[in-house]
Amino acid sequence: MSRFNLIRGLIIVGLISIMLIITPVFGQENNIADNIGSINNVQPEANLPFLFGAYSIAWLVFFGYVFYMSQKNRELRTEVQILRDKLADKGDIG
Amino acid sequence: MDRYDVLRRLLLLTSGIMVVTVLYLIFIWVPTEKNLGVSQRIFYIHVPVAWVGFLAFLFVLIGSVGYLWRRSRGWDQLAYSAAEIGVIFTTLMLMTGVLWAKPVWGVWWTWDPRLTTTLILWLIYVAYLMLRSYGPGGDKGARYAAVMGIAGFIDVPIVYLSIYWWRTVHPQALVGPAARGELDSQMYTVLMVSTITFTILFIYLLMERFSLRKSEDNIEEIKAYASSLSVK
Repeated sequence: MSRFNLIRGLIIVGLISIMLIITPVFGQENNIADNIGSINNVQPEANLPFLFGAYSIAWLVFFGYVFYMSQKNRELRTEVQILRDKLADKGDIG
Repeated sequence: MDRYDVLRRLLLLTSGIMVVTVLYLIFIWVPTEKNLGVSQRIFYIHVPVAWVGFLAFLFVLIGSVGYLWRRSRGWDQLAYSAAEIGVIFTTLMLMTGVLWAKPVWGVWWTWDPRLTTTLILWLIYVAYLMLRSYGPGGDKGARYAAVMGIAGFIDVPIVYLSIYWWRTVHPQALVGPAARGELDSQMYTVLMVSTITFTILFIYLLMERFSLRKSEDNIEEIKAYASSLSVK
């Protein structure tokens, strides 16, 4: 996959994520102030899935990005070497 | 292996050790906040990624100014690399933010000044990356992007100060020059360790991406040279 395709893919995924996040907003009936007032009644462990979701997404994104970069870097260095060798050969012939 | 590679590996090792340490601090050492429950722990990743996002865009600004001033590819490569990482961190800031907001505010998203200005910031730098991908290449593309990188940074202080300029439901700032919020000492320690960890991780990612961008540019130059040889 080329760099442009990857960036385009990332942008599309990002935009879809944002749209998915924002869409429920238009159907909301909850009053934010009321919710903030009622958080004292929340069970401490009740929000575990949100905590799990936040950290899972974050680490997946980080490791995915690091892996992508290290792979890409290796590929590019190899490509540079191949091109240099080809040019050197051409120079010898010329 | 040159000095740059040694430093990169050292940063990767340090950030790996610090990530394990900070996860221990977040999930085991720090007490649970009595009002917000366990979801408050999202804050230890949300605030550092927000800080790193801003820092990345500061590097875009520096790289863009440097490029317009010196016209050296290195500055442009720095700006591009920082923009890509900044977008990733800002995406994470938005994502962790909505996951924090739902249990606390009862909604995934609200058009609060802090949230709205952050979304605008994200869109500006996504547009920057789109300009780099689909816009003109070479010196012209780099010049356009540099102007956009400088103009886009104007939104960073607006995001940071939005909670003081407008009415908002977002919590007060706990780090930075305008910090006013108060935090338990243990929670503050974890926040600081987490911020340092993510900053080290950012420096590593930036060095890695910068090296990648340099290799990409080198390949383009060699290809152009090779094609000029074949024309002759």
